[in-house]
Amino acid sequence: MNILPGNLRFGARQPVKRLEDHRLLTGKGRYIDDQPAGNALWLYVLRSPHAHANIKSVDLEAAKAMPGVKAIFTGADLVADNVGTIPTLPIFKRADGSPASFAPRRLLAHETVRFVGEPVAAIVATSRVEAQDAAEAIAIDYQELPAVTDVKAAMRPGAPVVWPGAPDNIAAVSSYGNPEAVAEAFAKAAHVVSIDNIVSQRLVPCAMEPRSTIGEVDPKTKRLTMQIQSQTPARTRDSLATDVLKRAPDSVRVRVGDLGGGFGQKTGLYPEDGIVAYAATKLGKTIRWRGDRIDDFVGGTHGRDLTSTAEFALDAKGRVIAYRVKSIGGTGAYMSGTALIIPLVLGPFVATGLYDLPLVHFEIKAVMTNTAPVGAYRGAGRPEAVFVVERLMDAAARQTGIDPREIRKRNFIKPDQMPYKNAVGQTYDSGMFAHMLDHAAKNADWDGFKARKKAAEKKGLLYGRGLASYIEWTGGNAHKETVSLQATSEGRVVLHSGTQAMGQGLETAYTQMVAASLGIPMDKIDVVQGDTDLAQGFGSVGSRSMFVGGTATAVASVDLINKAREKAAEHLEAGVADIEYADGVLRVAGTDRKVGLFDLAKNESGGRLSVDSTGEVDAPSWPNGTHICELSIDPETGHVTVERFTTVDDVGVPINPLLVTGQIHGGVAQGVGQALMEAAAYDSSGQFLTATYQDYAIPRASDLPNIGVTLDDSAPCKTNPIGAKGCGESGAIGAPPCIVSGVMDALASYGIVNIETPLTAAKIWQAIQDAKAAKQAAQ
Amino acid sequence: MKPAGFDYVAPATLDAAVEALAAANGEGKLLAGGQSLLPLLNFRMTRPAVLVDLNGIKELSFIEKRGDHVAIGALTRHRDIEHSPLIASDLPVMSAAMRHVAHLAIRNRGTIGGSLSHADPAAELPMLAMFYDARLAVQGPGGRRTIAAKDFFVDALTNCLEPEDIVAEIEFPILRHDGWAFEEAAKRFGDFALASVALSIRRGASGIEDARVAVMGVADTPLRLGDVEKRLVESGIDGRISDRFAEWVASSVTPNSDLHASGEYRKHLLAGLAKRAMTTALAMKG
Ligand SMILES: Cc1cc2nc3c(=O)[nH]c(=O)nc-3n(C[C@H](O)[C@H](O)[C@H](O)COP(=O)(O)OP(=O)(O)OC[C@H]3O[C@@H](n4cnc5c(N)ncnc54)[C@H](O)[C@@H]3O)c2cc1C
Repeated sequence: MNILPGNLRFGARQPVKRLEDHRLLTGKGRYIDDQPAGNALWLYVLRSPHAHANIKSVDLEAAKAMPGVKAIFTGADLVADNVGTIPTLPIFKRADGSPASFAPRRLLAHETVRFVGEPVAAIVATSRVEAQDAAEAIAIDYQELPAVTDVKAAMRPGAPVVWPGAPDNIAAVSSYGNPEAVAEAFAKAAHVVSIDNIVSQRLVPCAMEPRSTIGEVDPKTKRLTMQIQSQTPARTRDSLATDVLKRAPDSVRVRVGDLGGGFGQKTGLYPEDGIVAYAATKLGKTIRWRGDRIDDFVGGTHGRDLTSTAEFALDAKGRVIAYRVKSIGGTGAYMSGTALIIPLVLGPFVATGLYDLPLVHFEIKAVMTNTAPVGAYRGAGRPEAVFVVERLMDAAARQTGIDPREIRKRNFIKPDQMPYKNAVGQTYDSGMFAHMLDHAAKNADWDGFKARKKAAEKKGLLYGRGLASYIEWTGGNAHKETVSLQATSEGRVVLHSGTQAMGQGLETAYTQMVAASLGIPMDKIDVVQGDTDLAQGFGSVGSRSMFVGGTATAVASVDLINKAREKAAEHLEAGVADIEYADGVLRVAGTDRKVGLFDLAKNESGGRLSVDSTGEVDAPSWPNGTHICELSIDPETGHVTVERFTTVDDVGVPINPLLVTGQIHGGVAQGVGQALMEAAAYDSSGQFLTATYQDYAIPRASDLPNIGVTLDDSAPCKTNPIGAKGCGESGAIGAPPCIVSGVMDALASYGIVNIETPLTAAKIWQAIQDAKAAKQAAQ
Repeated sequence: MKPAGFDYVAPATLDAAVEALAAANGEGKLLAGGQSLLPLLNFRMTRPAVLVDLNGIKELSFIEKRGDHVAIGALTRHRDIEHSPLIASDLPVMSAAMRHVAHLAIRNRGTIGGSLSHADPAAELPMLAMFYDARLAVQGPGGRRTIAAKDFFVDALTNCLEPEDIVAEIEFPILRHDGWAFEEAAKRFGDFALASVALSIRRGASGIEDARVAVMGVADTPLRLGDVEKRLVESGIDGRISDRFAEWVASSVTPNSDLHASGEYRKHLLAGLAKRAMTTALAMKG
């Protein structure tokens, strides 16, 4: 960790309004597809209509003769040209210890297609519509094969096999803990609480901007410049160059520009990006691809998809003495870059939640089906894992009759146990979990619930309260970020960062940090992201941008001041120790001899006084908090109305509380979507049923209550010098278990304990009917 | 551009539009608000050779009282119907229903002629056309003719028009009633209905003298429930009338199940909506 001067606050706790909004809201943003068409050729991706089929033959003749068509590529062309496949982390194993096994993820399918939407051919033409017209003229003879879309069905003997290397459809497994000791603890437990089938269903991440890509080759240098919507430009470049095109990384440049949302769906290299790069180099032409919304629905990675059975063994006092979870993570037909690490590693990192639960036994299987690949979506593994432990904690409270707050407090890790190493070896640096819970209960007017419930019941409604305490792991296991900070002779300060804004407001947050450290007005500061020629770093995933990238920015501010003091010492012929810096001016202490920061830049090469600085954090950060909701249910229709939603979030020291609050709001909205309405659905033949917003419901403003967010910074982060924890995924982790907890509370009088999310009105109504029927049958 | 290629004409009069459509030899398609047609074009689920744009035809946009009915031009936007004082006073059920039609941006563009012609079984205006016993004035190469709403809706997304017909205006007879209600349940507000009930009644000394009942979202077309109307007139008004009505309405339909809801659930919703509708209608001063 970098040690920084204690007097610099780096602009922390300032609710600066988003500097980028004026530009973005007045149409001045520069999204990839905003660029004029120029003389680029357009590429169209033809996708598989089948969930599982052999490609017997491809007839391109008619398509090649269509107007405007310049080239058509199929999987066979790419194989012939030795184009590589998109890799995933190679560290996982199957149950027998052999390496994980799964189909290579090609840019274009070769010989076999494994999900509806898999790219099978790319058509390049002078216009987009010509390319699409030609795609319709391609005749592919498919031999359909049996398909499997449900993870449990995929594990049954005799199920259709997605990839012959794993005849059981299990790509890889992981396990943690001590099965024997856990079994013993269960044998002597005072209470055993279990829930079957806790499902974090498959979701479609819904960024506002659908993906698009442009590839361009410099005719002289042959250097390839790609414009890709990537949250991780440098890693995307490396993967594209090394794995796919097999060329030197610095012969490729990746630029991003403004990015209309990512939510994890835009973390890795996509087949479409690779095809565009391949076509641009092959044809020596600028190539554009613009996805439609449906290309994101069927061709983008999906999120979540974890099915678990979980049990607590408790002692008589409500202390959990052992925790056992068996999970199935759906990966889809191919491995995205994060398909295996999310269920097998990242989920388990936080599986014990905020609780002191040393004795665990986790078994996770990563299972393939004939569906779109699964990847990161806001939270990536943590929402799924926290959902399981929180659902179980609620069930334990109900079964033991202990107040849901009290049972959590009895099991929370205490502040004096920090730093605390959890059952899978992750170390939490800080946290005051009971304090956050109490603070949330107070803000939510916990005691006023009874009166509100009574009032709702008078109107014939069911009324429930939900509670969930969550923890997030942040940093993406990439604890370094390098930025360059420059003072220019034109009087501007320029920050180049490898993190990537996609709506979080990083431009604002970084600007206020630099402005506060250097004493330079914010309108003189430029933040430049998304260009691998200017800055490289891991990028923006796992809520790491402020936590790691912000640390680097703070370090760079200090480094720039120090470098300026050295330069000023030479310039003013004084000792460095005598040079004081304030507000862009360097002065020999106690004299009127001074020189401006920007004047010093004039003497530097290129007119830039520049530092490259690396920020390094010691370990992950662990944002946490408690969410409390109240909701009503119309028993006649099953419709849920979320009436109140209160959060207290520990994000450490918030740099910009306004931006953080916005992050919590957005995450909660997506979490409410997961809990109540969103679900990606396939039929048993593998057709995707929810490929438009007509069939895939996301929450609208009118579906959400006011979200009361309080940031409580009583427990600053100890693993970085600015004290910030991440915050980007918190809302999406806390909200789903909180809402489900509220619905189960409202339905408790019917004896209903579990309904699979999303809790649509139709499902809740059905559960009520079933409960009534069961009661009648029992009488 | 996403649709397959097509020619585009924008006639200024209804006659010119009829001509242009006829010239397309069955390969033409009318463009009104475009809120249903454009998605179909973009997904290439429909591929007309010629698009005849009605939006320049001023004569198709009006709301007028003509004696015992209200006439609405086919190009009248949902939003204008929603905010019309004439509709509010003379076709109150329609007025109440309009806010359930999609969302503001869509209501600004979408037209009554487009909605009726599109014939979505879960759309409000087709149901209201059945409810009010509307008459559609249709212009074709052979001149103008009138089609009753009950003959117009053939199946889900299917009307009875010939390829060269244009709906010009729609007449809605005014009901001289004293109690009414419109109830709808959707997944989210503004979504297509899972189930919906429209009800209007006139009361007299012996009970209900006249009744109108229509439902949607529960069959391949909107339905007018004539039998239920008759039973309402035969039955007196007592404390159980809302429950009986709910039962009659629900037992008149057998909705299908789909991704969003089971048939059983839709039926149950419909009963609940019907009960609420009758309670609301009866609460109005007779
Ligand atoms: C997100 C979304 C939600 C929606 N939700 C609802 C809802 O809840 N309830 C609802 O009722 N509707 C809903 N709609 C549909 C909307 O009301 C449309 O406006 C309506 O269905 C079609 O009207 P239009 O004027 O846009 O017709 P267009 O889309 O232009 O045309 C529709 C069809 O009618 C034909 N047509 C148009 N005008 C004529 C005419 N004068 N004579 C003959 N044929 C004609 C066209 O050729 C085409 O086949 C929704 C639409 C969207 C996009």
